[in-house]
Amino acid sequence: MTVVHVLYGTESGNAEMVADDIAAAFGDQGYETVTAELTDVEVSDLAAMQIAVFVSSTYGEGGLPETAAPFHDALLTERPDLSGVRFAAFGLGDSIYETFNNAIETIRTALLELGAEQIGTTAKHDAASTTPATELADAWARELLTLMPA
Amino acid sequence: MRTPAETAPNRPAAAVNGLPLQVAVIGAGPSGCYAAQALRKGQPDIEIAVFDALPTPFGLVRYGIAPDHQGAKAVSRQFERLFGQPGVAFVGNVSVGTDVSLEALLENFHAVVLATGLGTDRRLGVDQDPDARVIGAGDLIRLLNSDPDARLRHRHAGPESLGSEVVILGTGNVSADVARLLSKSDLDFIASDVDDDALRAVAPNPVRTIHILGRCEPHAAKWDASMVKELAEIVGVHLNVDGVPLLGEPTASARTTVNVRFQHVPVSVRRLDGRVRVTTRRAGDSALVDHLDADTVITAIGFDPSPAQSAQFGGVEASNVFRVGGPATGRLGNLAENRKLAADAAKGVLEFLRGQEPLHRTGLVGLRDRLPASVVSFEAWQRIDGAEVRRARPDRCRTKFTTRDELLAAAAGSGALVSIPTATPEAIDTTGEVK
Ligand SMILES: Cc1cc2nc3c(=O)[nH]c(=O)nc-3n(C[C@H](O)[C@H](O)[C@H](O)COP(=O)(O)OP(=O)(O)OC[C@H]3O[C@@H](n4cnc5c(N)ncnc54)[C@H](O)[C@@H]3O)c2cc1C
Ligand SMILES: Cc1cc2nc3c(=O)[nH]c(=O)nc-3n(C[C@H](O)[C@H](O)[C@H](O)COP(=O)(O)O)c2cc1C
Repeated sequence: MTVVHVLYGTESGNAEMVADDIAAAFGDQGYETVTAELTDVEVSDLAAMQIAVFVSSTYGEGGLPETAAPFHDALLTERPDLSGVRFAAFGLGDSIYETFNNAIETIRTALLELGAEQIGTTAKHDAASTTPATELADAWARELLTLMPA
Repeated sequence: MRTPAETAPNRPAAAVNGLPLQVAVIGAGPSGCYAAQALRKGQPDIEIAVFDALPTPFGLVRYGIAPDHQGAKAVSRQFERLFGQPGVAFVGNVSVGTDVSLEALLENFHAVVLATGLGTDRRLGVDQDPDARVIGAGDLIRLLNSDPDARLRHRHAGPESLGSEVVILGTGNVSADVARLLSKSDLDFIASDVDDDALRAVAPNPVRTIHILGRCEPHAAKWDASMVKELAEIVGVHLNVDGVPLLGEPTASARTTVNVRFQHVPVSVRRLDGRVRVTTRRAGDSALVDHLDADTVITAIGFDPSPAQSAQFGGVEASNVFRVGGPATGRLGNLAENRKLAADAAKGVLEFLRGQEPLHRTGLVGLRDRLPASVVSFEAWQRIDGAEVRRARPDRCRTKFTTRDELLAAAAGSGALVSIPTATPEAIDTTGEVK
């Protein structure tokens, strides 16, 4: 049975809500899911994950949210071999910032560098748009499910 | 990493005779809502009633965060989801301490969380003529956000023009919000929910000159660089920092000039020929004195942590009373900070409840006779919400009601003010787990 880990970094909680939605979408299709804030995830746990869905907002001048930064730092220091890990990426940002959705790109780049393989497209929610993040999350997760191994 | 079993509560807090634990939260702003959210994540069968003095939820997300920053207001969607759950109730239009006593809450709930925010702008505390035109940024933003209780709305002359030249004291994000709102043209408010009538009353035209004075050095300013940049990038706005244009010389003539000056410490505010004179001295050199004349002074120097708030509840110190946000820290804080504080407070509440042999408490049900008839439930709020969105002019995302009467009428909608839903005991099995 494939276990889907939904790992999020947030400051004001929107990414946590999106993570809950993505986990629910997978749960509805019979997948076992684990949702965790990135502060509670060890980099060394990553290599054993079959599917990891990363959800992160962006802060400051395109920076990672407070709860994702230590994880990213650890990734770059510990450099685990992530070949065999498949991941998906969902970003939250706001297009009033020039560094729109930069954080999920930062995470994605690090994961790819370490050999992980991305499935699906990177979602980039824009808080300035009229689409609620959860709506985009539902649609995106459904699409992602079609790409999942049977 | 932790497995789901590990992140779940060590053991469910004891339910009494199969009845769930009851927590009251006072204040439906972000602090109260984040606390309720964290309580429910930690213990899904806990029942929570969130009281607010206003007929509407979300506190300063609705009435503080700037109306042209809808992205930041979107956190309310998290709270909508919270109130959509059975066992979580919004009890709007009920002021605790006035409409219902704190004692009544303590009799009916196992724990009470005070999340009442900081309602008032901090006063300047310098030598000041009582009739000089000085207003608080919080009051102004409440007006522009259609707060029915906004002080500026209730002056007998109603909101009046701020004039063409204003001084804003303080260099935090709220100061930047005010400068931005007063310098934008009508087109810049597309898709916002700014109170157009109020805005055109206080600024019939965008304000021509805005002076922002900060006591500190530029690098110590509390605002985010992105906020200043956003202000400087508004078409028609020209922004200088200590005399130097932030984005180079403007090509077109400015509609609004914003002059930011650091290291100016206000010493007095005087009324002079119908205008206001702000006298400042240079930080570090009290001999250097400056005068600035303007039509209105707006203070954006934080919110009042004075005991007015705690006086409301007689400074209660019971072991089952918890504080979060302003009442805990004396600072209003931002969403991220308050979310963390709320998570910590929720942990404290759950630890307390798990360490108790809880008494029988019925929550809202036990209080029903004592609540005013005009309680606004979450469902009733959703009617207000829908009505505001429907009545919006095409280039606005919403047009808020600006009086309590209008809000309550919209809340009543077709039906009467509906009763408050709570989870039925059948939804909870004997182990206290939610099915
Ligand atoms: C102009 C402005 C712009 C801001 N912009 C941002 C931003 O972009 N991003 C950000 O992160 N933060 C922003 N903030 C800060 C943010 O609004 C606060 O961090 C947050 O609202 C504080 O939440 P709170 O729940 O503690 O207080 P509040 O939001 O003030 O909520 C307190 C609630 O308690 C209720 N209450 C008080 N007394 C009683 C009583 N006796 N009985 C019942 N109810 C009561 C009040 O009616 C109110 O609804 C801004 C603030 C302002 C003023
Ligand atoms: C201080 C601050 C800085 C931000 N900086 C950026 C940014 O550089 N780029 C971006 O796309 N979004 C930025 N955002 C927008 C957030 O990423 C967006 O609001 C998101 O929905 C927040 O999600 P969260 O609640 O999970 O933290 C910023 C928001 C704040 C409050």
